[in-house]
Amino acid sequence: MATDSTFTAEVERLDRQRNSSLAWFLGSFLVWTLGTIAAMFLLIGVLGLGMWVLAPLYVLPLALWLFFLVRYLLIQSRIRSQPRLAEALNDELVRAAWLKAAAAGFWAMLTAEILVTFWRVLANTTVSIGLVPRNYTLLIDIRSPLVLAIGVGVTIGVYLYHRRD
Amino acid sequence: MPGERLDNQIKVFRARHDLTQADLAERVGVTRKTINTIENGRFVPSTVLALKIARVFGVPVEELFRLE
Repeated sequence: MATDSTFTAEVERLDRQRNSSLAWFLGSFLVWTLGTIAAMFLLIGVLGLGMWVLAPLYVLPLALWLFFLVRYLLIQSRIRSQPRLAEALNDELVRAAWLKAAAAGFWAMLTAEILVTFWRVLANTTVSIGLVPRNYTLLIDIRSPLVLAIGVGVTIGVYLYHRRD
Repeated sequence: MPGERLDNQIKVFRARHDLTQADLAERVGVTRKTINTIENGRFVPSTVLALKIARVFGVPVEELFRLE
């Protein structure tokens, strides 16, 4: 049976590129958020270095995840512009994977938000009795990036897991 | 029903018709990964997709899929 091998190859290529863009985005995003948090604790909080140490850990992963996010969006835009490609590449497995990923990401983010809220309450109590006031500032600063990292990490991680061969 | 699993014969029919996963995917308008996950029992296709696959092989859908 003859088939359109060019079309099949194009679908495979775009699918691989789209998934690799998401994987690279996820990796660099996690380094950006979690790496910055780790640096705040270790380099600034423990070793007492200045804020300048954060610059490379912040800028390089930021540039990387922005690049791969734009790449992913450009691929999606190209797919959407061709109905036959869009039908194949946004098929029911892809839609089901995003649905599962969104549900997992929602619950992970909600759980993380609840946990860091209680963590912050504990931190406030610690500060009010005059112990380790430096931790108070650090905990406030890491709250949002931590919740964001968990939400994005679980969502894209679950999607890529369900799209594996 | 709990414990029931959807078994399929797609791999057998593909071999009979000399089709690769990519060939079948192209004919029914999905990615090769989707065919792969259906064949391996990790993804249950919609009725529409199951009927499209059955149409490619020219058999009733019950010959391709059955509950075990």
